[in-house]
Order: sequence, then C-alpha cells, then structure tokens
Amino acid sequence: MNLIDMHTHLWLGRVDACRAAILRAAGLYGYDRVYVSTLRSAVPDEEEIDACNAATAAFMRDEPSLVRGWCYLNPRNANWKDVLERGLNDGMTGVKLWVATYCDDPLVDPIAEYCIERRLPVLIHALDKTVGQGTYESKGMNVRRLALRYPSLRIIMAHMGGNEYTGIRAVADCPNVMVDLCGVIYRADALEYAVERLGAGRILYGTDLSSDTPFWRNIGKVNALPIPQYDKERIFWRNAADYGL
Amino acid sequence: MLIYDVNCLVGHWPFARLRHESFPELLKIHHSGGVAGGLVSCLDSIFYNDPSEGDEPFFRIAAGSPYIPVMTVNPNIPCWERDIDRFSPRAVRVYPTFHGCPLDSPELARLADLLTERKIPLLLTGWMLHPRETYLFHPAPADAAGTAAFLRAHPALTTLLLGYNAPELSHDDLKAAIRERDNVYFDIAFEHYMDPAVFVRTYGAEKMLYGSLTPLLCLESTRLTLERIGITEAEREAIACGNFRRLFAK
Repeated sequence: MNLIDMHTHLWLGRVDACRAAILRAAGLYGYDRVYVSTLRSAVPDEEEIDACNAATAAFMRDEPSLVRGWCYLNPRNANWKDVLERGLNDGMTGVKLWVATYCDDPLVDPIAEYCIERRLPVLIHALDKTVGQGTYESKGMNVRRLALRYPSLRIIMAHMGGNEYTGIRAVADCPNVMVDLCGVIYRADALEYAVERLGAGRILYGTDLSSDTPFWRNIGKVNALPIPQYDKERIFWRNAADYGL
Repeated sequence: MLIYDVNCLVGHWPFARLRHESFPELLKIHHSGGVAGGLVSCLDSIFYNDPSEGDEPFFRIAAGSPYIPVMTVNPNIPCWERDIDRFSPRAVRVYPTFHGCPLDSPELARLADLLTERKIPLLLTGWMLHPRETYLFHPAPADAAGTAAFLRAHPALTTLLLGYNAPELSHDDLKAAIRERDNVYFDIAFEHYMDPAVFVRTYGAEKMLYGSLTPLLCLESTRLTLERIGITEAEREAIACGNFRRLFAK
C-alpha cells in the first residue's frame, strides 16, 4: 500500500527518539514519504525556531528518500522571512504554523502573501477543544477567515480542525483548504462526515506521529470508510502527490 | 483470528448522528471485522431516566443472537434490584461518570454486593468520548484512584474496566489494585496514545479483553491494532477471545 504521512513531528529535547519512532513507523506502515516539522514551545523565539528547523533539515539530509520538511515559523518573530528562505534552500516544502498566533492574526498576512507568490502550502494547526484550548490555538473559523482573506493561499488545516462539526463546517466552502485527518482519532464517524462534506479529494493522510503510538488506528479509519478503494488511495497518498507533496 | 467484543453498543447517541446504530448494523460491522459475538450494551439506556425503558426492547432484539446483552444500571435511581430480577442479566454495566455516581457511593456498593452474591460481572465504564470532544453535556473524568478503592472494596466481584485510558491504567494505585486481583480485566477500546503492547507487558494479556466501543469508535482501528501490535500469538489470542471465553462460557 502506498502511504504519504504529511503530518509528523520531531520534538526538541527528544529528537533522536522521535526520529527513531518515525523511521520505525515508516518501515512498519510502508510509508513512501513523511513530512516532518519540529516543535517545542508555544511561542518560540528566533533561536528556538532556528534549532527546530535545523533538526528538521538534518533529518531530511539523513533520510533524503523518505523525509520532507515543513519550515516552522513564528509570525511574531521579525526574521520569519530569512528563516523561511533558509528552509526553502534546505529543500523544505512549505510552512508550518502552530500556536504562536491565531492563523488569521494580521501578523500572518505577510507570510500568506509570500506563500501565495511562491505557491507554497501552509500547514496550519487547528484544534477546537471543549477543554484545554490553547491561548492562540486556532479553530476552524480562524482558518476560514484566513482562507477567505487569501483565496489563492494553499492551506492544509490540520486535525480536521480538531472537531469535525466545527472544523469541517467552517472550511467546507473554502476550496483552497485541504484537511488532514491526524489527531482526530476518536469518533468513528468523523472521517465519514468529512468525506460527505468535503469529498475524498480534499483529505490528506497524517498521523501527528512522534512516538511509537500504534497508528493502525488511522489506517483503520480510512479502510472502514464506505467509499471506493480509489478514494481511499486518494486519502492515503494520491491527494498528497497531486498537491505536490 | 476469532474475536469477541466486550465493549459494543446499539442505540442512539444524543449529540451526533451515528452512522451505524442498530443491532443489524453492529452485526454487519462485526461480521466484516471477524467479530463473532461479545457483550453488547444499549446506548439509549444510559440517557433514559429509567434505563429499563431502553433495556426492554434491547434485550428482546438481542435475544437469540450470539451476543450477551448487558443490563444498564443507574445506581442512583430507586429499586434497580427489581430490574435485575426481571432481566436476569449475565453482566451489568454502570456509567458512574455519566450518572454522577461516585465510586464510593453506598448505592454503587449495594449494587456491587448484589452482583458479587449472584456472581454477575460488573462492567465499569470510564470514558465514552474524549473530554475535548464533548458537546452540551460533559461527563466527569474517569477516576483512577476511586476505581482502585472500589476494586479493593469489592474483591470478589468480577470487574471489567471499559474505556479506561493510559493515564488511568498507568496510575500507580490502580495499577496495583488491578495486579492484586485475578478477576479484574480491562479493554483496549479507548487507548489511542499508547501501544497496547505496553499494557500486555505491564499487566499480562490475561487481564485484557478486546473492546471496540462501536459505534462511537471505529472497530477497524482497534481490530487492526490488535492484529498488528508486537505481542505473541498466544497473547493476541487471549485478548481477542480466550479471556472472554473463560469468563463467559456457559
């Protein structure tokens, strides 16, 4: 089975363990490619961002046939453009935004405009939670506002927004938004709901992998969908390949 | 691999449309996943003021099937003993986090004593849904320390912990309480962030049962996990069916 996991992580402080887990998973699940970003604190300074992206770049260099990288940016940092250009020079695919700002914060606008100009995809963490919502943690509506402001920005909304009922609804009519299914591992019907609202062509496979968590669960959720095999393949890898990942 | 599912349900979930909520749909999902039977409970009975209003039609539907219907008891409502006499269940399930019933409540203790006396296993429910995904109604969290105390207070009661997650199963006191007993089991339905093989190493496969939490969670996910995790075939067989057969053989 072909498989592209477009959402995995290294965590600063335990990079080696995360790398080992990703490599084990790649062998176990038969990954063709893995997209990695490196994270640590919610609002990283310039030095920490550099360390994160250096860890990603090193993994890409060491595993060139398997690992691709997202360039992690904190829109609050004045040097984001230098960081991104360095990441692109290292061969990174696009931008990763996490929880340093809401994704529709005006601070993100120049990054969005830069990405539109170069057709770079932006992977945006979005997780709507009943409990434990982060201070600047985006939800589906934040992604929607950004998508409407920049209709040609190529957005991947991570975790289907964390809650399909708010996340998927928010971006259903935003054709520039793809979603990934990682992190939404609870409700049986979440993925079916997403397919009904978005179509299989807008869903990407991901795991949020950074440890030895058994991601057979994610594969099982796609396998269980009442859709043709070709559409399952679209989710597992074809959409990602078509998207340029 | 033959599988018995101890944590499956039929009925409605008040907060979302379930795509597969009827008994025939459960059978279809189980059939395609290689599940031969198990313990089935009624979702409606959790939410009805009188759980027996859900269990009455449910027991009729499940009769004659390869499944053991599990009776739902809310220990806070009066005279549940009468319902136990009426249904003569082979297992009883409680949802303390939904029904606001502390694990040290006298009502739950009374139920535990009756079940012990009649040799009826108790299914003690922890989580049904992750707390970050609740809507309108927010059940209390699963209580690891309270569960440990409950197990110690009722040592002769066969108890199945359903929907307990890594934080509870890694809780030192609960871990000790489970290890002290040879009649306590837990299922693998809810665990998402830890490899179930870790629990096999911690507790031994003889304490684990296959549960899917169908239709709230995806059966194919737990089935594939059970099939692929790094444990011996004997351990896999024990979790999938051996322990269940030992517990519920007629």
